[in-house]
Amino acid sequence: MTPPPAHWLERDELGHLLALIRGDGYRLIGPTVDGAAIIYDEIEGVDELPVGWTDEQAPGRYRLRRRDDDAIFGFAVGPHSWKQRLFPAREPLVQIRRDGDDIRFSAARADPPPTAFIGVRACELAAIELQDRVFVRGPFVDHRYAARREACLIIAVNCVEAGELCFCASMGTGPRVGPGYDLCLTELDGGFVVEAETEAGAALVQRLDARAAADAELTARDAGLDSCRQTMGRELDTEGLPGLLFGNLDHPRWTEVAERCLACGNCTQVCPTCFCFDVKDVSLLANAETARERSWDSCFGQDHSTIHGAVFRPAIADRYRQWLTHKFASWTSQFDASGCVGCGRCIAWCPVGIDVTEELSAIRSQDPKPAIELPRPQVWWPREDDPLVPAPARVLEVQPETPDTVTLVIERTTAVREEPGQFNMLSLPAIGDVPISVSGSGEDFVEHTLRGVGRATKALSELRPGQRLGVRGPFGSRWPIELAKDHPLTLIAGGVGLTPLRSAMQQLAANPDDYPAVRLFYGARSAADILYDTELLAWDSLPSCDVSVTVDQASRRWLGNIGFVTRLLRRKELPLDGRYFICGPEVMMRQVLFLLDEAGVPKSHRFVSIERNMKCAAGFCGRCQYGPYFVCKDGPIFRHDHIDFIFGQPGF
Amino acid sequence: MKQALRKIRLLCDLDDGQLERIAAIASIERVKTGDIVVEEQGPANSIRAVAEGRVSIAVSVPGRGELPVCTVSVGEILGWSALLPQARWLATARAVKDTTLIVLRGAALLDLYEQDRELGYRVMHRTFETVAERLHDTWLQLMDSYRQ
Amino acid sequence: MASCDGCQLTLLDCEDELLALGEAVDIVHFPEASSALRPQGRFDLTLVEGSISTPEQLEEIRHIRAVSHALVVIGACATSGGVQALRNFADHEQFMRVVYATPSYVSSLADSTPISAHVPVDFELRGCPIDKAQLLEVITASVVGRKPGIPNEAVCMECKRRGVVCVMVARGQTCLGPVTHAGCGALCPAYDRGCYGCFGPRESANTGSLATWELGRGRSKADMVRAFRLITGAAPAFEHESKRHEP
Repeated sequence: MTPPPAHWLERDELGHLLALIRGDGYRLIGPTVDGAAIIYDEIEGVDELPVGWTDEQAPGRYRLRRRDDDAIFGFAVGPHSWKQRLFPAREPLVQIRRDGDDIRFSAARADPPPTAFIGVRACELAAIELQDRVFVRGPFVDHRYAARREACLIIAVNCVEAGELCFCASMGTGPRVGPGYDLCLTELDGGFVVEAETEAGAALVQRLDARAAADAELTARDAGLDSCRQTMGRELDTEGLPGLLFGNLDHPRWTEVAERCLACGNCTQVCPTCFCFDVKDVSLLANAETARERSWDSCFGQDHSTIHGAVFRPAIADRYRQWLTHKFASWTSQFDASGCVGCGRCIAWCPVGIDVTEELSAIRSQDPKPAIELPRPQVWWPREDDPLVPAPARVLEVQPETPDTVTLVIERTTAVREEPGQFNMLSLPAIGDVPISVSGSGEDFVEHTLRGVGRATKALSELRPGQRLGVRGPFGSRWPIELAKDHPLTLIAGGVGLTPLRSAMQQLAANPDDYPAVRLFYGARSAADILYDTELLAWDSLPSCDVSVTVDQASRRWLGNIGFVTRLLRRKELPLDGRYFICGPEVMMRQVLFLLDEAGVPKSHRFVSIERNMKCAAGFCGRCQYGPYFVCKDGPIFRHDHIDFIFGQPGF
Repeated sequence: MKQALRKIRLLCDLDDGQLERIAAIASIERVKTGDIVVEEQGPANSIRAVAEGRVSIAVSVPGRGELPVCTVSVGEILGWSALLPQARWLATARAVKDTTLIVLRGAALLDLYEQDRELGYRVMHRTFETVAERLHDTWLQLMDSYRQ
Repeated sequence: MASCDGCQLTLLDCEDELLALGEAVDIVHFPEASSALRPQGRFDLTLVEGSISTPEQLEEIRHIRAVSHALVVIGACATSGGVQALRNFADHEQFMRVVYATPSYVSSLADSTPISAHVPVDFELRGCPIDKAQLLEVITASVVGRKPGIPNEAVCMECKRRGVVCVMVARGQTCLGPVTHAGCGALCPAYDRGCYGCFGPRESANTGSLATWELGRGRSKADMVRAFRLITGAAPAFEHESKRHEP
């Protein structure tokens, strides 16, 4: 492919270019001096660009300085990034209106005005491309992001000077701007080399008073890029980084850096690729209108990893490790690229000057353990629906199961039939939505068994037949029932962990020819907490199924087993060629897996269900991350050998 | 009797001769659902293995009656207190199914251990395994892990 | 309790929302708004402002707890002891002798303490003063039955969401933002001033690292004592840090 022809634009003509773009109906967002830094803001013309300004950057330090010349783009990246424009810090996702028992959910549309980004650097364009992978190239499309992305015109700038904290050359993202721009400028003495990549860009060049660039100008451009590449203030050895980091989850450096880290989240907020967000229902009192909004979140916050009171990353060391392993390792598994573009923002804007390049090289150089192999990225088949907008569904029936647990039978609103192990997000206006596993389904209904422990589940458990709620889904992986064909199959459930196994059990019991030897071991808190008792008895009476139940607490009237579920397993054969589906509290699953280890059952024969904090369920919000996985799309059902390097590891 | 003894994990490491010596001090006990097998406070004289059925182990709590803490099923043992000097039962064992038990008198068993140290080592090793497992399972039970 | 009543005024500030609030809840006792006597009975939600500073307040808060289904304490005084807790660092008797002509008329505890030091509380709403939107959120959450949407995160998160340029990094100022509970909307940094910590320490407040950094760039130990010992200086994390730098 021949490179697109380059043009030369006189310095004074930049204003003309910006005016043309504005004239085409674009608003301009570009760098401008605001108090103490160069930020990105709406501008009208060249005058507002940081002409003659530069910056001095060091870990935890940023200062503006006057240049000796009047360069327009003679500075490195500042505290803002284009993320603010494409993925705003706060944004409504869904509008919810309640009218009696009727609920309407409608997608909040972005309707973005055409916007031109002026001065996008190579690292920043790479960052935009990385966020595209999250929001438009996964199993779902985030329509708001996609709309803004469509509406933007990218005027990129090649860096001919490197900043003190830059390391794009190490990350392979710069300094030459990669594909994805409309126009790319290289600022040289007296003007710009201009390259167009798109038709929109080429059309702009045609309307400018720009001649073809001379060879000397192209040579100067390349020399500028070369000198920039060679004067990068930072360097990072990225060789085998993902495996190295996950092989060193207990490296002493994590504790050491945690003494300095403030867990303030600044690094994640200035990072142009960090995409985590939180979702909240915003309403005033019992108002009929609720806005479901998202806002930037950070893995350095406690709420990020909290579900019903359990904090999965309590220590700062856990959180720092989460951020670094995600950025430099998990990204590769999740999106087939490092999450770092080498812009250096996280170093400058860390209030106490923690330098990621230094932390990473410390782990590499201070007595590291061998690297491990990380899972490959998954291939997704995109789904068209907006995954964040629930569909209103009617409650057909409410079956009380135990004093605090009910099964909601809900009319099916989705075309896709839920599979055993998958989950739906159930939602109520002004309260929010929560992931609930599917406990059964039929042609025109889906069942969810839930326990009213949290506020949202309590409100859901109080629903009455005829009332409405919101449903979105189904999401996630399923129990691989077909893999268990012709093998003895053992299901081990603890507490409400029986609910996702129930729909599997229903299918297994209905197909005795394929599944002639199914055992279910179920541990409940007490006799009163046993779920689906009639079904348990019915399954047990089938020749193909054997059901054993045990309780932790009992009265004298209880004549069944008493003791933890591991007691049941200790007395039973655990065949090596069997398949094992396990669901319950993590502590219980861990103990069960120990027993299977002792029995010598291969890890590839065991499947477990993992629960983490989930908000979007579509792989966007980042909250349910579990090492290199998203529980919402890679899980909740995992094969044990795929997660054994993090399963039971504190801080994940 | 030897057939029945073979099914007990406690004795799984013993050879034929050793099992015969155990059989000589063993007896069979049959109880009906609800029957008391041993009663709290009573002298702990025999260790028992469940050959068939199920037994619950319960502690009396004043005002609340018997509170079962665990059940013992086929192949498992109860009453290891009988191996301790001058022991009393710390709990009541009650059949929750029609149950057949194999009874080994504690004193006779200890005598056997003395006479045949290897037998003693093998059985005590399994006893320790059982106690350790039971203790571990009790911790897990105490965690009340299904509450949340 | 012991306070300036400013947090109660925040509720009165909710002009438009006050009407909706009046429809949703029945306000039975509100000293700043009405002089009606305290009714007897039990309450669904009680908001308490101020710290426990006198023996009478200690009695009263126990009573309030007993008659309230949900107890939400509001403001820096109620959640950390407030600015009046600066006396916790000094000799209380001496203060009384210096300030009052007849100290014996004054009945006061040696320390000013948060409500949670004496009775269990259901939610602590931070701030000096509290933020109006957050107050409405707590009341709304209580009415509709959701978890209050008030994250325990650093002020930095609010700065960044607003696009405010960091005053620590770009201006070299001392700022308690990284260790302070969000909720003010990054008010001071938005006006180019470092955070004073009015909302008190956030969870995981690594005050030690922040102080080390500041000392490393030329601040004195006395500066650190002053920085951490202000509005919420008696909150354990801040108290611990300021004591570390005492002469």
